Amino acid sequence: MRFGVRWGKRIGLSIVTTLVFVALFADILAPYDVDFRNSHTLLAPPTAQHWLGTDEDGRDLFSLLLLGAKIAVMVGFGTVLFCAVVGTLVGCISGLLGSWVDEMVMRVIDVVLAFPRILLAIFIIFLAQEPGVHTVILALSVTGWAGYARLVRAQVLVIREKGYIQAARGFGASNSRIIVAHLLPNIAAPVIVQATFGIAGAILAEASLSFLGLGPQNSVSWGRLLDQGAVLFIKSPYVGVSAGMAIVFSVMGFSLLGDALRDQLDVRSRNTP
Amino acid sequence: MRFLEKQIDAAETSGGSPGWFGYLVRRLATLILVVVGVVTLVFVVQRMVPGDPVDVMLGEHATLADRQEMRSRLGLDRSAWDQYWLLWQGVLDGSLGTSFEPGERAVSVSSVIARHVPATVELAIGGLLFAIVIAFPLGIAAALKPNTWIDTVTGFLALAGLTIPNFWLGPLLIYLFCVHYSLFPDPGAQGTGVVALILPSFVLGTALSGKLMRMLRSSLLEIRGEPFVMAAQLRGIPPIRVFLRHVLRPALIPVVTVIGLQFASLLTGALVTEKVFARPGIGTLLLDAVSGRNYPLVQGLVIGLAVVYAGVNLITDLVYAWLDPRVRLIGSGSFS
Repeated sequence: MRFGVRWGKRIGLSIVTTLVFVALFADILAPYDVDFRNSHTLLAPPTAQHWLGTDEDGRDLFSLLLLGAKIAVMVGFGTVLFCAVVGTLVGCISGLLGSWVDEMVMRVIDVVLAFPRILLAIFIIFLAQEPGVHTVILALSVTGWAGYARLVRAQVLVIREKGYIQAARGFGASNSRIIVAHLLPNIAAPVIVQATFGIAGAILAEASLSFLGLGPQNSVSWGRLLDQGAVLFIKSPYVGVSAGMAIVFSVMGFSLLGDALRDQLDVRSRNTP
Repeated sequence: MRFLEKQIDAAETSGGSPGWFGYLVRRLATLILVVVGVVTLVFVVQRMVPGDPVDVMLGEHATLADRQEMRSRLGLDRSAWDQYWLLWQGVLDGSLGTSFEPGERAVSVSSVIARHVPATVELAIGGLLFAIVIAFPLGIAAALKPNTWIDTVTGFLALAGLTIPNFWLGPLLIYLFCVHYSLFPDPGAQGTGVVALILPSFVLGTALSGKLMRMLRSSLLEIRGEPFVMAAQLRGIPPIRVFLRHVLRPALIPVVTVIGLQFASLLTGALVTEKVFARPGIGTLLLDAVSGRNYPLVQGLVIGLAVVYAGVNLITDLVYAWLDPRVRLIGSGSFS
C-alpha cells in the first residue's frame, strides 16, 4: 500500500496542479474563442486545427474543455471554501460554548443533513431561475457546511479538555483567542482532508447539475458538454468521451490527493468521503 | 429534550431490554424534529431565494390577470404565517400540496409521486444488488490479501467506481450494448421489464460498490486484528469458520450502516440514471416538474423525498443499534 499511496499522491497532486493552472489561464490557453463557430466543421473528428474535434455548433472542443475547467475549479474551490469557513466557525463556537447553543446547532445540522444535497440544490436553482456560478455555489453550500461543522465540533469537544486550553483559560484568554490560537491549528488537518474530498464532490455535483440542465447558465461546463455529447454519442463520441474524461480525471485527482493527505496527516475520520 | 431524557433514564433503569425503549423514543423525537426542520427550511429557502413563484410558473410575460389568479391559487396573496400553515396542511394530510400545471386540473402531489415510485424503487433495489454483488467478493479478496496486486487492482476499481459519473458511464454503456452490439433494448423504447433494468441498475450500483468495497476491506482488516479472532484460531476452529463467524459477521455491521446512509446517493444517482435511460421514475418526475415549472409539485417532491430520506436514516440507525448493542447504551450527547 505504501507504494500505492506514494504514487497516488504524486498523480493526484499533478492532476490538481494542472487543473488549477488550466483554470487560471483558460482564456489565454484556449486556441479558439467560445463564440467562434466554424460552420464548415460540425461535429468534426480531431484534426490539426481542432485537436479534439468540434461540437455540434462547430465550436472547438479543446477550447471548451479548458473553459469548462474554469467553472469546475470555481465551483469546486468556491463551494468548499465557503463550507469549510462557515462549518469550522459554527463547529468551534458550538463545541466551545456547549449547553443550549451546542444543542441547537446540532439540531440544525440534523435538519440540514436530512436533505440529499442535490435535491436542495435543484430546489434553490429552480427558484432562482437563470442561475449563475454564484447561485450554484450557494445552492451546494447550503447543505455543505454542516458536515464540516459536525467534524470540527467533534474535534473541539476532545481538544477543549486538554491542558493547554485550560491553561489559556486560566490566563484569561477570550473565546475568540482560544479559537484562533489554539483550536484552529489543531483541527486544521482533518478539515483540510475533508475539504480535498469536498472539492471532488462539488465538481461532481456541479457536473451532475449541469448534466440535468440546472448548472450555471451562459457558461461552458463539462456537465453540459456531456449532456450534449450523450445525445450525439452515435454520431460522434468525441464530445461525450472527452468531457467525461475531464470530469473523471479531476475528481480522481482530488480523491487521490485526499487519500494521500489523510494517510500523511494521520487523520482518523469517521466520515468517509 | 431535557424532560425526555429524564423519562428515558427512568425507562432504562426500570429494567427490560436495556436501552431499547429509550433509544427508540430518542430517535423518533429526532425524526419529528427533522420533519419540522425540513418543512421550515423549505419555507425559509423559498422566501429567501430571489425570484417570484408566479414568474417561475407562468414566465415573465404573463398578463396581469393571469398573474393575480396564479398568485391566489398558490396562496401567495396571504400572510407569511398562512403560507407556512398551508405548507404544513399538505404535510399533515399526506397530500404534500396540490399539483397543477398551468391550464391543467389539480391533483394531490402524493398521488402523482405514488405513480412514479415503483420505477425508482426497482432501480434502487437493482442498483443495491449490483453494488453488493460487485463489492463483496472484491472487498473480501482485498482484505484477505492486503498489500498484494489483488489489493491494488480492487483499490483501483473502487476508485474508478467512485469517480466515474453515472451520466458518463450510462451513455457509454448504451452506446456499446444497445447501439453497437444490440444486446439490450433501446433505452427509449423499453418498458419496465427485468432486462431493461440491468444496465441502469449496473450504472447506479457502481458508485455505491466502490464505497462498499473500501468500507468492507478496512472493516475486515480491523476485525482480523482483534484478540477474539486469534482466540478462535487458537481454539482450533477451521479457518473458514473463523472467517465467516468471527470476522465477517462483526465486520458487516458498519457496512450495513453505510448501505443505509447511501440512500441519498442512490436517490441522486437515480435522478441522473433515470434521465440517461429515460425511465419514468421519481427523478424524471422531478426534472419534468422543474422544466414544466410546476412549482407545487417541485415543492412537494422536495419535502416528501427529504422526509423519506430521514425515515430511511432512522431505520438504518435502528438496525445498527440492533446489530451492535453498544450503540444503544451510549448517551444521547455523544451520539447526536
